[in-house]
Order: sequence, then structure tokens, then C-alpha cells
Amino acid sequence: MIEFANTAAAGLFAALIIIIILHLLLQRREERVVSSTYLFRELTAVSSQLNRRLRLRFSWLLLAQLLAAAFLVMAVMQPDAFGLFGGERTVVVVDASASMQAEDVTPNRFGEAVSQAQDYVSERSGQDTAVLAAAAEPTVVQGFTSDAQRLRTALDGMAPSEQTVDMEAALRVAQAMIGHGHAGRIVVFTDASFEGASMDLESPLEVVTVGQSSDNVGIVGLDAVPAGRSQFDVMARIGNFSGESKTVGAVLDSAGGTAADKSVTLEAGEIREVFFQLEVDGRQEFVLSLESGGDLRLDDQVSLTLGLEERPRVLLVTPGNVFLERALLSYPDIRLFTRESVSEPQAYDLVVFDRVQPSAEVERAAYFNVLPPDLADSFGLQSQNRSLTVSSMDRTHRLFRFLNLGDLRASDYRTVERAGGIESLVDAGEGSVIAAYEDNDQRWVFVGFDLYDSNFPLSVDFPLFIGNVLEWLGPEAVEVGPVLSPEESDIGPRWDYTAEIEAPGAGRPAIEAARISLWPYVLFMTVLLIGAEWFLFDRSSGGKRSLRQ
Amino acid sequence: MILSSEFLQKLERLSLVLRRTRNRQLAGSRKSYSLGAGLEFHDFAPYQPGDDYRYVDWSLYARLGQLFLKLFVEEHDTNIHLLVDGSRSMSFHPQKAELAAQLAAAFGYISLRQLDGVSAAYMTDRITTELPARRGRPQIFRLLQFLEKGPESGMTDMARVLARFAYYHKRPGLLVICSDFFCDSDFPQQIRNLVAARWQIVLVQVLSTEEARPQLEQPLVLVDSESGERVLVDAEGLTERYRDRLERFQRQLASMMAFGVHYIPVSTDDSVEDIVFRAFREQGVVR
Repeated sequence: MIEFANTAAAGLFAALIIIIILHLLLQRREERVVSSTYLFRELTAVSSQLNRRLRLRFSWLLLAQLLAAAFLVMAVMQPDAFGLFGGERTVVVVDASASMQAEDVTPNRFGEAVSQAQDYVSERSGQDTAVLAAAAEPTVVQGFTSDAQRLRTALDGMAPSEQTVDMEAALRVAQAMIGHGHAGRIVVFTDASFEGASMDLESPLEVVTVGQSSDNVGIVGLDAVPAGRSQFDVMARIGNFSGESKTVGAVLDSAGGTAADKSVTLEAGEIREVFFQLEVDGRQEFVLSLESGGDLRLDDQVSLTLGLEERPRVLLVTPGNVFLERALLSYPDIRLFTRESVSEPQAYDLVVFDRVQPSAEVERAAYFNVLPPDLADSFGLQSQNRSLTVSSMDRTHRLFRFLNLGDLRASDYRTVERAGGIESLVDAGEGSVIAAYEDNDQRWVFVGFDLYDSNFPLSVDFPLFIGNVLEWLGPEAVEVGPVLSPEESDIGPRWDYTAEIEAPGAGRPAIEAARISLWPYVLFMTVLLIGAEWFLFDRSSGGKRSLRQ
Repeated sequence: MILSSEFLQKLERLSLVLRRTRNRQLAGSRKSYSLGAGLEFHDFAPYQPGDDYRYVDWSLYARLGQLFLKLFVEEHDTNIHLLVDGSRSMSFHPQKAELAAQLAAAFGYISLRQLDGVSAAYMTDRITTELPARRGRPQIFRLLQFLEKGPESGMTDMARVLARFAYYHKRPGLLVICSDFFCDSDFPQQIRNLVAARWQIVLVQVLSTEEARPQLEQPLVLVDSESGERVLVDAEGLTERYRDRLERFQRQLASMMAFGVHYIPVSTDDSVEDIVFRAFREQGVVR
């Protein structure tokens, strides 16, 4: 197999096009003196001359020049042959997951892993080695090369992610890089703080672990819900992943200082919810921090943004619906406008259409027993003239949060098809009766029955549903920064690789001279070609280059 | 010598076939349709007052007692003008110029043998060198010597040459033009003018092998040997298109046969003997 160490030089192949263009431009017609051109004058039309002037004609000179240029570019690309003579290939896999930022070793686990990997590739200088970064998705950092300096530089350029590692995928890619039937080995530098990555590998696996500490307390969840005007209930999930009981301080800071703080004592392996109540003026940013959070700092802080700049503007378009109006008015954090027909819907944050069909889609809207014509066509709106029988219900959706919806009835109803991005919340067999749609900035909710022909507005679920609709469709009042998963916060080693590994350096001895650099041979071919071209075209024409065929 | 002695001996068997042209100033060896002074007896005619007494047949008068005149076929000579193209396009292929000179010499020899007056000239855009009309077989050496010298290079302007030729040669005769006729000027019109003035014209088109069957297999810039004009040509189908063009040009020249012009296309591939004894005979120029 042949690989190129300097693939970027492939761009130089563009020079071949330049050579062809030069030939097209420089190709000259041979001059031939004839007794008279009298009979030839009619034989050449001007258009014919122009059309055919740029037609590339076969030329041995052109072929020689193209070959010489191609060989030269290939030489610059530094082709290496390996595997042809039984060489061994090694893939160095460096764990770049979030847990590798734990600082139980100096400077941290990732830095230590990179340092050890650099030592490893230096020892194997001259052998075919590649570098793979293992994170949520494996990334090839450096293809196979025997250049130890290049491998060290590639390792230097690596950075840890804030994601969970998918080591199984990384090992599968590493094996694929080695290829079937080739001698090779996979060397993993990791903290092993992930659940198993067991798989059958053709190549022997070596695992070099960095960091053994499991001392970490981290924030593994954070959420907030409005609890009245300007009030939010904040829930933080804090986990103790160390082997002993820990007491940590959880502090919510804002620009104005500490907004709330609590001290929590957690048993070993315990994950507990901690609640805060916050008064928010407009839109405000907070940071939840843990004091004495252990070796991994990444999960000790999470940002949180609460509140809105102003109350959202809600337009209710209805011929009259006391249930909807009352339910909407029960939410003081919105400004409600009621109209009997649609006018300037874009002036509102969201629009509720009750039995009044809008002419066009609205970015954020709730449709009660109606859909705009485009959406009705796209999603197959159909009337079902019989009483509603619910076949299934998705209670996990955010719109159904805190809802029971045990006995939903309607005398007749409409359905949309369960396709094209539709999330069916209430299904009636023929289609979806209550559906949600989300695509980029567009969100809408469809309720496929008249509220007056249903028991839904009489149930306690109705105002809660309207509240959920307002939250889902309205501007986001809660924004939470990235939170590490409990698996990443648990920095202790968990991967049981002992059955698969060999001790580092105890593997089979590498076969020397596994890789052969071909560029000197390619360069020699280039020189030969240029020499032949000079001899055949330049020297034979007395130094005067001719493009004659 | 441009013609071998063996070939000249063979030419002895040939004579020119001419129509209409005759020279009333000098008696020659060619029979005319008029009767008068001559050697060949034709008929008797009753004497009319004013007739020449020298032609009265006195022995017939002795037998019949009436005066009769003896009528003879009057014999005239014809001026033969040999016009050989001496332009660069002819000398570009030496065989072409040589063949043109040989054919002109053959015409000249046949004519001189018949006691016709023969003049020869090389032309380009004018008459460059000229051998005045001579009569009698011994003049063949001067003619061959003149033609052997070869042409002077230059550009062809046949229309101009023929116009001047017609101006200086009022008396019609036989005009033999040996050329490739690669000429821009409207020489066919001048030839028609000469035909109208009772000239008999023989056009001998001499082409080289390269001109008759060119090998053109790549795009070329063709340079005219006379004018230096450059013409771009593409290789695709060029040979076929050239052949079509040459055939069209030759048909154009042959079209002048409709008003009595002899047109004889020849190639340097053919021998001069073959041309004279086959092509000239087929065209009815010699017999």
C-alpha cells in the first residue's frame, strides 16, 4: 500500500493543467511553403480556425512534460510504501474526553497522555504510526507516517473536548486504519473512565492509563422553571463520584453578587437535587459554582440565564372563546391581544388561532381546529366525523409536562398525518389529533378539535397545557450552559480492559524497515523523464524547441 | 537538351491540327480553304478578264480553244506562339517548369517542321523574355536553347500578360499556354477575347505531384511561394477538400472548351512522350 506523507502537495497537480494550457496556447502550426495558396484559400474558414485552435493534439512532448510534472509532484508528496514487505502499523489512540481534564496528574490527564504518547512514538521512530483522537466521534489527527517529529507535532496540536468518549468507535476506526490482514497494534492512552468498550479486535491492544483518582464532585444537571412573575425555581443535580462522603458549597452568583448558596453533604456515589428560588429582574445571568469540587474543574461551574427582556406579546385570533381567553389571561407574564381576524401576525411573539384560518404560516403559532392552507395540504389535514378515541399519547413531550389527560373526549375531530417532522402528542389511529412541529425557528402546535365540542377546557389540564404552549412557543426564559454528563464527571477508571491488554512495550517486536520512502525513486524517474525530453526534443532540434508532433 | 533526339524523331510523325488561323502574308506549308498560288492542283475555272495570265492552261486552250485557269490550293503558314509560365509557382517544383518547357518545345518543333513561324516567351506578370517568331526547322536549336534557360521567378498575372499579348499580336494564330494557371486575375476573360479575335488557344495545365495529390495530414500554415501569403488550414478532411477544389478549378478551365479552347491537364507524373502522343492526340491538337 502506498500513502503520501504530504498530501497537501497534491494541490501542485494543478500545474499539470497549466502545462496543458500552455501547450494549447503555444501549439503552433507547421509552416509549409507551397507553390501557390490559390486553391487553399477557400478551404479554411475563420470560424474553423478559431474553433480548432484550442483543440489539444497528442504530443509526445506534452506527454513527457505531464509525466515529468506528475512525478515531480508525487515526489513532493513523499510517497511511502508499506505493508508490501510485511511491515507493522500502530495506531495511537488518545482519549480526548472531558474526564481527561481531571487534574489529579500534572498538568492534567490529557497533558500526561499526550506526553506519554509522544515518548511512545519517539521510541518507535521509523515505524508506521498514526494518531487518533477519541471523543464523541473519533478523529484522525495524523495519518500513518514514520516521521516521529510529525507525529509529535500532531500530538501537540490536540486538545481535550467536553464530550463523552465513544471508545468502541475509536477502536473500530483504529482497526480499520490498520486494515485486515496487516500486522499492527492499537495503543490507547486513556483514563479508562467510561463504561466498557469491549469488542473483538484483530490487532493486539495496549492500554496506557493516566490518572487513577476518582475524587470529584460535579454538577451533572441544571434546570429552571418560572414560578410566577419574575420568579424562577432552579434545580441543580450534584453528584459525588469519589469514594467517600463529601460536603460541598453550591453558590449561585450573578453580576450583583451571590444570589443564593447552599451547603450539601453527599454520600459516596450519591447524586442529589438542590433547589434554589431566584428573583429575576428582566433577563439576568447566573453562574452556579461548587466549592471543593475535586480533581475535575470542568463540572464545577455551569452558567444559567433567566428571565426575558420584556413580556411576550400574544395574539388570540378567535370568533370568541372564553376558555382560551381565561386560560391565557391567567398568565400575567404575557401581553394578550384578542382579534377576530388576523392582522400583522409578525408583530407578535406568538399567535393562537382558534377556528380562524390564517392565510399563511406564522413562525410561532398554536392552531385550534384549523391549519393554514399550505400546512393543511402538506400534512394531510382530514376531518373525522365521529367521536374521538385516543389510541396513544406522548406524555414525555414538554407540551404535556405536568398533564394527566386521562379522559380526553371530543364529538368530532381533525387529524394530521404523522410524517414530515410532525411529533404526534395525541394519536387517534387515523392520524395525530394534537401535534407539535419544530424546524429551525418555526414551531407550531395543532389541536384538532373545537374546544367547545370537547371536555378538554373543563379539565384541570387545560390551563397547564396552555402554559406549556406559551413556554414552548414563546421566547426562551431559561437558558442553561453546557453540563457534563454523570459519566464524564465520574472520573474513576471503569473500563475493564485487563482481559484484552498487553503491557506497554511487551507486545511483539516491531518489524524494522516496515516503511519505504519512495520519493527518491520518483524523483529519479522525474530526472530521467526530463533528461529524455531534453534529449529528444531540445537537443535534437538544435536547442530550438519545437512542438511539432 | 530538354528534348532527346529520339523524341524529336518521333515528333516527325506528328502535325498540328489547326482551325481558322492562317497567315495571309507568308506562304507556308499549311493548306488553306482559299484557292490561289500553291503547288497542289485543285480545279479548272473559266478565264475571266483580269485573271492572272500565268495560271492560264495553254495546252487546254490548244485542245479546246477556250481559256481556262488552273486553280491551286493556296498554302499559308500559321504563327505559333508558345507562352510558358515562368513564375515562382512553376519553378518551385523544378520538374513542373521542366515539363512545361518540354511541352512547349514539342509544340515548337512540330510547328517549325511545318514551316510555321514560332515564337516563345516566358511570362510572369509580364513577358519577361521572348524569342521572336522564327521559321524553318533549323530554328529548333534556338528555341530549345531559349526554353532550356528556364524561367525567371516572379508573380503570375496572366490576365495582364494576355491583354498585352493581344495588343501587340493583332494577327491571330495558335497560342499555346503552358502554366499551372494558379492566378487570381481574370485570365479566362482575356482568353475569351483572344478566341473572339480568331485565336486558337491551347491551355496546357502543368501540375506537380504535390499539387495534384498533396499529403496534408496536420494543421498547417501554408506560405505562398510567390506572394508569401499565409493561409491557415486544418488537417481534418483537407486532402479531400483540396481535391474537390482542384477538380472544380479544372472544370472551370475545361468549360472554356465550349468555345474552342483546348484544355490539357498534365502532371509531372506523366512522361512528356506520353503527354504528347496520348493527351495531345486525344484533345485533337496533334495528329
